[in-house]
Amino acid sequence: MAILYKKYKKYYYMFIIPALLLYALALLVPMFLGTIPYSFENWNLMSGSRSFAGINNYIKLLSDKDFWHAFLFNISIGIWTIVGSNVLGFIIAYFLNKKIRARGVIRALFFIPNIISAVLVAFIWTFIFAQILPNLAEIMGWDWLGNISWFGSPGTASFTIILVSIWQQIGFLMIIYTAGLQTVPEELIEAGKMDGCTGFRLVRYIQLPLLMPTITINLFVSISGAFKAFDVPNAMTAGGPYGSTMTAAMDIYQEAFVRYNLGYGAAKSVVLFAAVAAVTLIQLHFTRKREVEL
Amino acid sequence: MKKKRLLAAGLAAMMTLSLAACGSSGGDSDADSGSGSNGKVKLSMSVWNGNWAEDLQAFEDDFNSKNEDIELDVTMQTGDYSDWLGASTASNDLPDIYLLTPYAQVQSFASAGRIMDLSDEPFVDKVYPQALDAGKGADGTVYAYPANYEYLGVFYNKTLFEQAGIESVPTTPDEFVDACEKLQAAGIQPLGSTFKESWTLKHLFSALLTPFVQDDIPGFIDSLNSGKGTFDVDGIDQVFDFLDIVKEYNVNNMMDQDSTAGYNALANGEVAMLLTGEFSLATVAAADPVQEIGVFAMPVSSDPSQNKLSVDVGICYVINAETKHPEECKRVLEYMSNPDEEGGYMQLVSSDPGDAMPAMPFDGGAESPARTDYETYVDAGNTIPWVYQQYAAGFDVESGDIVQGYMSGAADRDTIISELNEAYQNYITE
Repeated sequence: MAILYKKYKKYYYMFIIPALLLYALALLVPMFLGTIPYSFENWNLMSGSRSFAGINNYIKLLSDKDFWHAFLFNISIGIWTIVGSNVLGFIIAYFLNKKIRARGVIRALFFIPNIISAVLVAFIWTFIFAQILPNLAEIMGWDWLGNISWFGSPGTASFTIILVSIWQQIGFLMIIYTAGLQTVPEELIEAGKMDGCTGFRLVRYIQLPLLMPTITINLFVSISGAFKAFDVPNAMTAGGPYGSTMTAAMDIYQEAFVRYNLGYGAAKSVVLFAAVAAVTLIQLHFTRKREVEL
Repeated sequence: MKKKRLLAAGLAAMMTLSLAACGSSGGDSDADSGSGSNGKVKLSMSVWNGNWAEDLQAFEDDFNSKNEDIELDVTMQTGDYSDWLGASTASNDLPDIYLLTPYAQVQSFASAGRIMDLSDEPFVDKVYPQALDAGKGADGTVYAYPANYEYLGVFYNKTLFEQAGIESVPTTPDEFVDACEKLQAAGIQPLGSTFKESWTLKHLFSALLTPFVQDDIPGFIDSLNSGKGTFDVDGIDQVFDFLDIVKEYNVNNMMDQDSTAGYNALANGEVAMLLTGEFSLATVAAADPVQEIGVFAMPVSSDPSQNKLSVDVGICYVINAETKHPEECKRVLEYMSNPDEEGGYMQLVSSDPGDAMPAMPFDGGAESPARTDYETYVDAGNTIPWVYQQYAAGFDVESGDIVQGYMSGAADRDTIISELNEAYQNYITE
């Protein structure tokens, strides 16, 4: 391993550098030269007034109940979305890993939501919730269904966002789980079966532990995705009703581009960044520890 | 190895940060464009997106064919216009001519010295006097060409009203309730909704509030901007009473209805009334058969003389104060504000149903029963502006979100009023 690594070292770098350069240009440079310095400024885009604010933006943020409400909302939909999409993604991947007919087609069908733009996804689901379900309820005579106002209360509006987020993310996570399941050596499964480990126990004690690297990746993707949630909630509810489904990213957007307080918006995104970095690092620490080497 | 992991995790998480980092990029840097190689003066113009791409192209072609020394380039910003505006302002990258929203935005750009004084331009004598206010700076000087008049009101189905035996349009809340009762008795759904989208509630709340502050709008706005004002004005109870009527006679699950659903319900004759603006008429005209939709002022006040049609300027054209070609820019505005220009801007952008009409007397443009009603109000001077356009910039969006709380039943009137008052404080810039 080590010898190979040395031999091919320069090729590794050659593969990494183009992507890293793009990444640095598009993200690191704006962040260190833009967002972080801006967060210490009082900068109103419209009036053009700009002055050094020290840590005032951060102090103001501590008592900004709208931002923290949005942040907590991220966490609450995040938990549901992360657990829901990972569990369902794994279950689908598990069953589609068995030899069933047309599984390639079925996998593709599950993956499609992932490649449709979030705005379109939201449009489709809004139509389902607001038009199709009430019509269905009327035809079937199900008053309980017809009387649910899907976007009329914070609870149901959150539910629609969670459901749609899960539906959208499931395909991607499923593909990664599928790839992971296929790396589990057949002989280990065989050996397990001979020793009488079958069904759920086979999944629990053999496949899942060997899937830990995949789980690490998927949790990482879905956790950071949950904190960044913007497009689906924005297109589904636009934060409504009554600002109850506003996510932190939407709040940052409003601060910077509706209220035009760029400095304060930048401070909010630095805080969001620090929070995501902290949570994902903790997650990496714990899931990495449970990874087993073959 | 551990360091690498930290680095990798850190890098990936940084992606979340890119949101507010785009302040210094974007925007076409055409403001400093000079003369082209063909000897023509190049002018850049930016407008927001909408279903007017074809009209804009035709306008650009028409203008350039009539003005051989100028090459006008009209760009429709495809993304969010306010993002683009903020970014271009921050990087001092604004085009020669661009669009602003009336009142607050024009005033803020004027006081920052970004836009040109237009008080001697020909349009000043052509547009309706009230419309001119929309393009004035805080000092009362005209800085913008108010290019259109939009209107908000109760859009109603004349046929369904006849079927229900309603002889004249309601002018007070009591008459409005009567009309709703008659419609219900005739098996017709009285009202439709667009309330899933909070911007429609920003419109509605503004249209209901303005009648009660119409006598002194500058005073009302000044008091808000001084931080001492309140939305608890005389008549605010009638605003909420009217919202209660709107809730009572609305469709089931009205909070699930977005603007598309609302316009469709009106256009297909499923509802007799929708509280909306002239922009809904495009959907109405596309339906088959086309319903006969008129408009009347929202009857919010029990004093019918207070209820007027909400008519205000929707877009304002301004000239960059730093343009190198002020005279040519002014020629563009003169062309745009000329109602007799055959095949010109004004005729192009008002030709489709649902288009707003120019803010001046104009014979062309798409006809509709609603337009006829609207003109009756305008000719009688029976109109009020949209007060939300004069709020401190940005508050209008939040006002819709807050009023959505009342419509969804999440908050009572006192909470809504105090939240409006508190939220306004965040938008006051000293």
